[in-house]
Amino acid sequence: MIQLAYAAGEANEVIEATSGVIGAAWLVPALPLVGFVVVLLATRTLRDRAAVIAIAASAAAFVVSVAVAIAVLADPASYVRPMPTWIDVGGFTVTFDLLVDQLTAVMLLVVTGVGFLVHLYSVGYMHGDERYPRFFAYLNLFLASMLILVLAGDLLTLFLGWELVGLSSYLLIGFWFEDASNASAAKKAFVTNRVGDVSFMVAMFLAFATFGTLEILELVEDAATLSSTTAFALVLLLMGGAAAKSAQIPLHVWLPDAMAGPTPVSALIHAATMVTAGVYLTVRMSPVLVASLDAMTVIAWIGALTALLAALVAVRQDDIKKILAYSTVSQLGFMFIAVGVGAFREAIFHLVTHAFFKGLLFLAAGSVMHAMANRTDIWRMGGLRKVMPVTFATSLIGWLAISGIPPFAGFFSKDQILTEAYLHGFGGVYVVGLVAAILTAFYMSRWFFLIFLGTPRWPADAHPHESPTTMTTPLIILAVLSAGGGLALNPVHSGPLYQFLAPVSASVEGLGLTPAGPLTEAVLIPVAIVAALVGIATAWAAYLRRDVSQGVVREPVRGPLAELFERKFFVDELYEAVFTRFGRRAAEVMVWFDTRVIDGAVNGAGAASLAVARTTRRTQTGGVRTYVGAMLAGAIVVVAVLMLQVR
Amino acid sequence: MVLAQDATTLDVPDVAWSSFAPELLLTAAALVLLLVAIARGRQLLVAAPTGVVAVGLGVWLVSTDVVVPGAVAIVWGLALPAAVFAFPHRGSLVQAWGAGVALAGALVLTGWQFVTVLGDGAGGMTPQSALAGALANDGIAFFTRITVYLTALIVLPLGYGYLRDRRINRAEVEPLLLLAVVGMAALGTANDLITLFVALEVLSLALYVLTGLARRDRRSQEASLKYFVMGAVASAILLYGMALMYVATGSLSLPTIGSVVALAGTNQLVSALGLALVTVGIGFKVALVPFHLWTPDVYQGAPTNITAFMAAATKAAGFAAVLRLYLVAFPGLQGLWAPVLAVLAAASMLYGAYVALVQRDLKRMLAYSSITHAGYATIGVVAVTDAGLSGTLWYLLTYAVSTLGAFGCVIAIERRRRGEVALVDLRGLGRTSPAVAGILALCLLSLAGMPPTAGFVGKFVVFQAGIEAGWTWLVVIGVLSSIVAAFFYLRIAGVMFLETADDDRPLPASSLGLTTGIAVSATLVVFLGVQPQAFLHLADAAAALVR
Repeated sequence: MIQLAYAAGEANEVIEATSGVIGAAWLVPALPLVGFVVVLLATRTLRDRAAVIAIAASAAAFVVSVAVAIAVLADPASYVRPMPTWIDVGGFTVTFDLLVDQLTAVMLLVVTGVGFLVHLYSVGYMHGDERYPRFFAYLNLFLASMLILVLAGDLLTLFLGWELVGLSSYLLIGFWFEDASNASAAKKAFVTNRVGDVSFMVAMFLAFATFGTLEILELVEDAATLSSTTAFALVLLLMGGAAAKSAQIPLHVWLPDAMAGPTPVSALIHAATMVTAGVYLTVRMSPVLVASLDAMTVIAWIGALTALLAALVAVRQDDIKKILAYSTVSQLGFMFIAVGVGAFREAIFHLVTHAFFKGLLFLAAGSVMHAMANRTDIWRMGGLRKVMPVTFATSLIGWLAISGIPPFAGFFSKDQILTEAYLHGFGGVYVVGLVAAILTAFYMSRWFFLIFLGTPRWPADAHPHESPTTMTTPLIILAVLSAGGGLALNPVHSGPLYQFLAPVSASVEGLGLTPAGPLTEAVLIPVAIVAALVGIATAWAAYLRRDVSQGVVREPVRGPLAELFERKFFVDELYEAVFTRFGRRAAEVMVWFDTRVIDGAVNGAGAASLAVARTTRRTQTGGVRTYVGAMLAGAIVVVAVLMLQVR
Repeated sequence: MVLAQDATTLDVPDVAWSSFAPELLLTAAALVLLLVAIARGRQLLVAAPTGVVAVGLGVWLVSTDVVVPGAVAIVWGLALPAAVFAFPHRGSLVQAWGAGVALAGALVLTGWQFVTVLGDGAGGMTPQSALAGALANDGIAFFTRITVYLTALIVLPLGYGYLRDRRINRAEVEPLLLLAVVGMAALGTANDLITLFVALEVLSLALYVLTGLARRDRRSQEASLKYFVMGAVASAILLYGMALMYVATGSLSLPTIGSVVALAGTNQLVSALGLALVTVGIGFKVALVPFHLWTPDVYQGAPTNITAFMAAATKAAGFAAVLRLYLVAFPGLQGLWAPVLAVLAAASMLYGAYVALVQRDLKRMLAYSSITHAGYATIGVVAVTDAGLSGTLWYLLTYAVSTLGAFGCVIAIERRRRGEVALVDLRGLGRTSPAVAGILALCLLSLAGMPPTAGFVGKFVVFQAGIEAGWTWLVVIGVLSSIVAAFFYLRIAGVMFLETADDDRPLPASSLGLTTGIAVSATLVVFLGVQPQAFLHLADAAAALVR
């Protein structure tokens, strides 16, 4: 039996499982995949019944996931479920084997749980859409892809899921493609992710060149043998892939635009599950990460900067979903802070609580938009507390949870990340994270106050109303989880979740990390609570006390700095100028080169035969002369190069 | 008849004849089909005696225990007259069926070769040399045959209705196609310079004519002429390079050249010059930058089914020659040519991807995409390892099926449009005909290298081989170019799925042949992506060469 190189807890035993509950783990991705195929093929005949099949598939996947999780809980180990071989060539073997361990179990529950709730919510939200069945087909495809990703026992099959979630995300962002901005948001997401894929692929090549395998269990087992330069490169390349999928600077640009898609999609894919794939990947590879403290420091700073900058942008957005979008980017930044400072279990904990409260907030936003006939400007809302009591109450819990007020879920996970950053000696990261936490409480309070409190500012023709039960039920379930999830899972620093995850998270004991200062957890916790209260109080002073309720429909505070945040630090404009325009120009230059320059050069060279050229120029074969000339020119270069080498 | 000659020599058990049995069958079929076409109203006059001879030959072969070729001969001998009977007034259907059965027979014969001669029973291969070393019946030959025959077999139904719609379904199409196929397969087996050159000319001449098939279409004529003139120049350069190679080494046989070329006594300067000229000539045939300039014009101008055939099969055959030349004849000069080919590969990958970005015409875009793919395939060549060799062979197969599917969808759209297919013609296709749009998207994803399609496994295997051989920078460029390429494949998908259709846009055509061809390609794209094992093993075994 292989003993894994984890030292945080007792090492996992590796067990091959072909029967029993774990043996049936393949059903988890297979069920939604079947759902996808069935719904897609029978779109016309099924019509609205498509939803039933899709929901049944996701519910069944959830049930199997629960069973799998219970089996892992009862008998913790790393189970390998053997599956057919995918690629086997020249000593390089990739199988579809599934890897089921504690980390997988947690991810399965989050993905299928939130996934199922979002399926349910979509029944009400997407009702009446002309492509209703197709929407559910895509949701099922997404679910299957994400489950392949978390169950993969091999980096290459993980990459398969990775690409498929990208594809389904593309399809869902662009679902309402009649609006051109949605279509371009879909493309932006896809292409930005392709940039990350390059990094991921190179990481895989490097891993294979170093280890001779891409099997995750073998990789993490051999991680200790890595040289520091290889480890540094490998970790940063993996992080490149993770940064794209999890929207970290500088590849974060796609996520806010992706919110153009239907709101359930934002909740499921762009808040709760898919965007956490990068966090999952880095935690999964944590034994490799701890081989390079330098690379981890880079990751921590990427996370910290992302958390801070995205929070600053969120402070000045007016779109109900844009705020949540930047908030997601910022919260993912917190998770990467955790990964970077070696607090891998804290990262997963925050991933879980974030899935609860951000899923909740997005669905609540969807409920509000549903009520307000798809208006998204929070300055045109206010006072919705009375007309939408359920949405209000659940949002209240979500707001408190994300702001970090105890005893709600977000408090525990965020506080523990910051504490770990401090205790592992990342003082700067801690300070930046703390500022981001204050900002988080501030912008979420602004969001909450302007939508639900104060006096109504909506136009006369809006008739807000509470959403149907299929929409409010998921809200209530997620609200319960957001309220009690943190307390139940991990109230103190060595709570049940951390003990459960210990065997699959690498230890940082060997890295010689020391606290950044004399403070202890007893001081750090009150500091975090105060930070949250400061943020909330400031927002109260700015948006509730000084009454914006009196018909004010735009941000009262203005200035160049505010402008900078509002325009998102001009990153989009920068990328547009540098990449898009440059790329297009480069391509145009090449085309021009193909058609003109070569023509010109040949014409110039053949000046003596200009008279002849002029007569033949307009004939059909005009281009041939050019092309032959170019070919000869190329030939001369090749000949010259080879001859010079021989000399 | 060629088959009759076959009979007189086979009574002495001779491996040599069987080593090019598929090509013999196809050549015979091509000639018979031409005769059938010439006979016009009296087709049976040709078909009946041919059938009798073929069946007789087959029976005799079976009686001498050469069962499989015998059975193939019998089947073809029965199929031809049957087709004439079944479609009395539809000569082109007779042609298509005759050619199709012959190609299927050639595939069967290739399998038979593997089982009886090549295979060692354990999945490996024992390479055979034939005709005094002129032919090498080995891994490259075997795998190239599979790719080329399979491609031709898919192209036949794909193009049938298209050629009829454009009224260019003339009788010479199938015979020429078969001759091109023979040339390609021969290129895969050629083991000396003369055979290699003759094979290259056989396939090129057939393709020049096929490109100009649409006599009334100016672009087709222009493409044909351009292809011919430039091909002639490239052939001349190649031939000159071969001559210099002979001067330097005193041999035409590739293995002999391979063992002599790096010796101290040979004239390095002359062999380097020869190598350079061969590189240019062959670079033209497989369309590597900067010898690619003919590709967009020719791909755009040629009838679309011919373009599909050129893209898929010619590339496979061209790379078979590249692999054999560089890995059998010039491995000793690796230090000289590998860097040059690597630069050409890098240039092709980047240039093709970038220029494709701004194309509006779908066929032209796919032409530039074929240039990028030539670059990817070259990575396996410069690796100069067994893994690289089998990687390239495998890559070409995955590229062939993906590009066939893509061009098949272009044909479907073009048949109703009756003209060029521009990007805007695809608007809203995802809505109006989801099947065609879905399959086109699938094939484009495969070309872009997305899992779980064939293209991903193809790219992964060549990249893997490149990394193992130390070509990290080249692979990184490959990966980078695949992002750029993703842009334009995505653009097509975006236009189809994320834009609304104009009302008057005609729907894509469908016919039994076209649907079958597209469906088979799409199935292969998925199958080779999800279960590539069988073919990967074959490619792996194909690293056994006659050296």
